[in-house]
Amino acid sequence: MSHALPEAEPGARPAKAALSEGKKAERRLGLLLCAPAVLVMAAVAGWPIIYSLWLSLQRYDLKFPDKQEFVGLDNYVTVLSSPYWWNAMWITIVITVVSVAIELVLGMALALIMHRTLVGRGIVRTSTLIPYGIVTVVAAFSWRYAWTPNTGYLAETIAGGEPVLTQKVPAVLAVILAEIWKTTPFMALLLMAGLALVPDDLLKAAAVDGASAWQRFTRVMVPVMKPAILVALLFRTLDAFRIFDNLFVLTGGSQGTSSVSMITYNNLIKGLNLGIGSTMSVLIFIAVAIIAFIFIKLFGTAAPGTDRGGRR
Amino acid sequence: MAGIGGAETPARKARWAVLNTLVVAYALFPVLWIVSLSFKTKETLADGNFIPRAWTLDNYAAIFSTTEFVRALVNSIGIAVIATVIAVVFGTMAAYAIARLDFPGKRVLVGVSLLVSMFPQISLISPLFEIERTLGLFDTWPGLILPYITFALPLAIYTLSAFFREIPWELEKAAKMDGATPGQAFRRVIAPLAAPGVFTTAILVFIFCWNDFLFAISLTSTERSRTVPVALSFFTGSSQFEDPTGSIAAAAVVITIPIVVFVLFFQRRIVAGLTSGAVKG
Amino acid sequence: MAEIVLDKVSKQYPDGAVAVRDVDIEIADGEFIILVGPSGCGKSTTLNMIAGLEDITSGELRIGGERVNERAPKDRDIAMVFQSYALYPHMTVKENMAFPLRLAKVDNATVEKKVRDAAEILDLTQHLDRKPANLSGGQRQRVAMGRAIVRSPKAFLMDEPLSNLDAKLRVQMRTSVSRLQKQLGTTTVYVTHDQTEAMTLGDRVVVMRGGAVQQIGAPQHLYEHPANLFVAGFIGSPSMNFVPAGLEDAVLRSPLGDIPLTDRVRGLLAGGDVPREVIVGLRPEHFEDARLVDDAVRAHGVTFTSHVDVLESMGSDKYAYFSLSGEQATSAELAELAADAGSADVPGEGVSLVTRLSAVSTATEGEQAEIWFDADKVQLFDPKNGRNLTYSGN
Repeated sequence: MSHALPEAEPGARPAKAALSEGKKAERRLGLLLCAPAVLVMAAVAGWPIIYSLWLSLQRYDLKFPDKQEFVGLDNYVTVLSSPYWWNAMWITIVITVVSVAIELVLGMALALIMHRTLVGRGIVRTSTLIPYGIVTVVAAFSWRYAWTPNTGYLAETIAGGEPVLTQKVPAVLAVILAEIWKTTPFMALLLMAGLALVPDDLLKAAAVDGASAWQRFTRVMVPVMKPAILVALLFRTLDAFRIFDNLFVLTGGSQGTSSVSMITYNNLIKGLNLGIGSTMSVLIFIAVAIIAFIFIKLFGTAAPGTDRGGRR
Repeated sequence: MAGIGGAETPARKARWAVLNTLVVAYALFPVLWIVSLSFKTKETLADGNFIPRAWTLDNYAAIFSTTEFVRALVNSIGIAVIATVIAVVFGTMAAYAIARLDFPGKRVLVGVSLLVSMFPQISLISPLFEIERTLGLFDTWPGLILPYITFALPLAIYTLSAFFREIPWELEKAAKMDGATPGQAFRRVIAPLAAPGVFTTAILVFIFCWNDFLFAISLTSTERSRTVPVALSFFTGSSQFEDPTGSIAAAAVVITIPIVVFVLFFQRRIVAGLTSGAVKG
Repeated sequence: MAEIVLDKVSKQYPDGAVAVRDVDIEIADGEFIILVGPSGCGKSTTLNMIAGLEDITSGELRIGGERVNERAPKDRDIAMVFQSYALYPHMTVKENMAFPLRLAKVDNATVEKKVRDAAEILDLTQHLDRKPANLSGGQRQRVAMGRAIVRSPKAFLMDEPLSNLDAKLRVQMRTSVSRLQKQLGTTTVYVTHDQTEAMTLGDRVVVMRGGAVQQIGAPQHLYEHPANLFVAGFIGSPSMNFVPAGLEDAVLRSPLGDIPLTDRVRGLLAGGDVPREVIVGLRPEHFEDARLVDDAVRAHGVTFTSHVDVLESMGSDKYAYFSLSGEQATSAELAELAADAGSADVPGEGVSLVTRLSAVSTATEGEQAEIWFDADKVQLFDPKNGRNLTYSGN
């Protein structure tokens, strides 16, 4: 008792309506679930950025609110021809490049330690999370008092009683140090996640093929982890570019140590000049966009989330 | 450095122990220093010693007797908790949709939230300052909660959708076959599995809100809504002629306590949460 | 317990892709039926439609005589075992097994008793308080089975339940699944891509390809009377040998030599429209070392001499591999089978042949051997549509 069926002719059934009820319901639910998040982000990030573009084209000083008028690109000319702006830009770039470069090296070492240590893995991981989690302002105060003559242990031992934070170059170095201390653990964690993706067998194979420890690191580990390294660098670079808290507490932007965020804050909240402040905001936004563009297009950093569209 | 395998010889262990000690010292030195400062007496505050010569709790007593600090602490806790709850709820909804459902604009949403996470916060200060003044939100709790939610959302969405992707959704099918309604399947199978991810995300978001300084200093002007990090920077000491160092150190230690508690108890989760969003799995 | 009927069931996705096309299967009460085919053949989709996890686009599904197309899975009273087992990681073994009963609001005493009984049958009693993470693969598999049997459903659906086990355990579990099904007498639909599982487990086997049923029948019937080239190649291990041949005056001219059509074969071909180019199918066991065949039998078959490429001695038999000069047999079905077996890109010249010889054969690797095969066992296929030209129905 059995029967054989011939091949059914293909395409016998005409296509039904484009979307089934279930599919439509799924779409509706998806959009509904995302709506609150989208609305908040649009209202608090999207709209203000457009509004600040508008403000940047105005003369708008809250000390003289009556004199508000449309001035075109005048504010941009003012800012871009200001030596203070360019100084702040250079300070920001120096802090960003130096701290991110050192963090990458230190972070890689820390990641390797956390990944491979034979003893006390929990303690190491727990203690490295402290700098990540601690309030930046708190850490900044700790550094400030450490460098304060008489009060601080660093001022006495390393700086020899000199007031470090009131001289431009030492102050910037102190800021960089504080920045590195605070964010290296975060870099290390991102790199450690990358390390976990390097299969042990690959390293064993390289060892059998005659690679030394250093060669295994540079020729096998680093290339395999490259995507993770680039993502970590992108995150940290953008983050370092926004530096504000550490500078505010450590130097207050004196002696020409202001970053772009700092100088914008000063114009805006202290100077109450919305026009100039907004212009600077827009310029910083453009600078960040350029950095992201360089990372994503030139270095081929896979922006996290870009290929996570697939279901399941 | 890139050693592979190897036996756990005592010499190797000792080498690791030395390295680990260095790491721990690196991580804790500045923290211990501010703790030490907070316990120093007025007289020994400026002696430059790493360990206090004379211990006192005066600094703590002093800050808790000022409304300036207590009010800021209440603001900090209130604002961070509310922002965390809202961000995690919205983030959970969006992350579930991203991880599980197929709908148009999903990629756009992922892209936009990535954009927001890379946003220079200072760029929002000028328009927000103006908008909040117009709407009467300036120097209020909602005035800070809103930007916190906005910047916490990308973090929440990334971390949660990474967690949600890990949940074996076949279990949902299994529950249906076992006779569960969609509601029961969610409550009794999916929710218990998703809870750890949601909890981890909540910790990360809380740390973010707790940490913020730029929004707090730009969008507040009085004790009404100033958070602790901002209050710290305005501390002048209990009298005009007093050096505020001790008070600042004590206040700094107080707001570090929640962070230390989180890190001690949820180390594993925080590491998982921080790394899940960054590395595609 | 109930019979399950699929009546012209089809599944079409919104993007227009047809996953399952006009499937007709009648599953008798208590029957153990296997859906088998390469990946993407629609077997899992069919199972999910029976389960209610996927909508049926058209056609009707009846369980115990009632149309259930529109019912939610929970209202169909069927249990399912998943390939990944889908055990709830936050529940103990006991809680996992009790879950369906709790949802059905069964009272505590009954739940306790039913879980104990199921655990007894599956030898899980000492693991009841453990979490799935602490169980071995085989134990997890049994918990998944346990969760299915506790509530005595109308039918069991199993989606490749053994494919995550290692080879040895899989064979062991295969017999226990079979024994359990006989013991409980519950209608069971079992999906697998492994033809050995299909052959050994099922009362009947449904072979699917490209969303369509190719043939339904008892394992032995499918083996002896495949309806087409696909079924012939899919069922049996090692697979049937396929050799191209030209049909001239009742003789098949093939790389194996000229094969005369026997009366039986000629009878089956009579009346049909037989093309000049055909594919000859021969099972490995229909070959023998010519020296072991006595002359009377030898006359019924064809003898050829060739170079033994590889000889594998299995103890009970010997497998001798040959490659003959000539073109390989080609057809869409064979290409798909090769792709599924992962052998599509294995380099090979000419026609390769697998033969199963008696253990006492003296064929030696690297030397010539004289091989005989039974001309009456040949099956002829149409290379264009894969149809078995010598199909005898029953």
